[in-house]
Amino acid sequence: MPGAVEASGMDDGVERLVDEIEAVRAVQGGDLGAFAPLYAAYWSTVHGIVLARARTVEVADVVQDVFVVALQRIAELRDPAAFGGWLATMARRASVDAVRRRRATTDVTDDVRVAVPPPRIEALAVLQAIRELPEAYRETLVLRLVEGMTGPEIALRTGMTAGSVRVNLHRGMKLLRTRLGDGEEVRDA
Amino acid sequence: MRDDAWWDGDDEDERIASLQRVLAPLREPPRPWGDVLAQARIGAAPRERSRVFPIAMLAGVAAAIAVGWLWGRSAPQTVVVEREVNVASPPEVRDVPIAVPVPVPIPITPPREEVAPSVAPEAVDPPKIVRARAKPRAPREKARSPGEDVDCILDPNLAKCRGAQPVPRYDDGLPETLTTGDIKAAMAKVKGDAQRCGERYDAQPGEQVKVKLSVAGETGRVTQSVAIGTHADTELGQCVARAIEAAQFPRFRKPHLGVVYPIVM
Repeated sequence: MPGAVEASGMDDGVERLVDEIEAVRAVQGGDLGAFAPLYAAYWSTVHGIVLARARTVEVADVVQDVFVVALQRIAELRDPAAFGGWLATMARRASVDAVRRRRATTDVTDDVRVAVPPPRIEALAVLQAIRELPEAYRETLVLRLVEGMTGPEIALRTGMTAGSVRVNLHRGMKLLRTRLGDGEEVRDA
Repeated sequence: MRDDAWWDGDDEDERIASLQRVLAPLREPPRPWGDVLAQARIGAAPRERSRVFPIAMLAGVAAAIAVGWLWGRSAPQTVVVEREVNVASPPEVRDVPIAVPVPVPIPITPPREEVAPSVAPEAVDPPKIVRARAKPRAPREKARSPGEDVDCILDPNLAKCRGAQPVPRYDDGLPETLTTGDIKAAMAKVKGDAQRCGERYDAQPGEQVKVKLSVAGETGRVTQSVAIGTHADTELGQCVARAIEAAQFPRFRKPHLGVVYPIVM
């Protein structure tokens, strides 16, 4: 599966969690460089969470802001094992704030005509269909379909239970299939 | 655990794989870790400032209140001094205040009782009492004159201190907010300066610098201008934001308008 990150069993998950806990403790101890592997590991998770809510043009900025704030406030995280859930909550709040800011500001284009390639148009159409689904399914579907994460990995990274992820994916896919007209519109570019 | 366990079967897997291919253009590579680290380090300074600023504001407000209180206190003290003579008047004089048109402020009643016994019981004519009680009002009226107004002492540049009429906050003829055309017209005048920043900092042709502005409706002036996005903390972004600060927009009724404007280098 292209772009997918394999979740290769419980042992790997535990090992990864231990590494993360050590990294979080190191950052809390003042070693900011120790945050780099956490950034690499969680970038797609935060990107998916933000993409499920905020505008595509501002997603990268919001994602960067989430990590900046996380780095500045990591000392407040009491349980290093909860880093994923903590970061996911931060990402959700940041994307909601971005949506609120959008309402409060006026975007003015500088008459720059940027040709949007057809594959991206199709991708945006599917993303829009996902965003119109109930809140609970959006994030999980984006993490699965855009970021290529597996169900167990979504659970591990976001702090959700495996059962919740499974239910959200299953029901979300069912709804999405209905919205997309049972596969008529979804074809490879 | 294999991925298949999460789905209904091969058909579902195919569907997911198909959707993943369609949605692939939305994937983005992570930005360099160094950018995040640099922004986090730069961001620490404003956070420190943000704590200092409210404290400074509170200190300023407290100082203003203290000055106002001290100034306000001087008038009652004057009243008390004058009353020392009057309050010491004989019992029949005490009946006179009924005829006084303006009631004596309540806060000064206790000092009268405290002061009265210490003053020699000299007879005072009732008319004097009326004058004495009427006098406390004079300083308050004087206080509205520019020379003695506490606001003018604190800030002589206020409109009322210069004798000018205050500018009305809103004008019925003003639009509720700015149109896109208004914004573009105002930005066109400063865009050249902003684009010169690109030459100065070797920006690539076509590179965009997004600036977030806050425009005050009352004046049409930019109250805040910051570069956002990839140029949030670059010298190019700061240069462009400074250039944009000079923009003058038409006035409008809303207190503020936020604008995000991309400047193409």
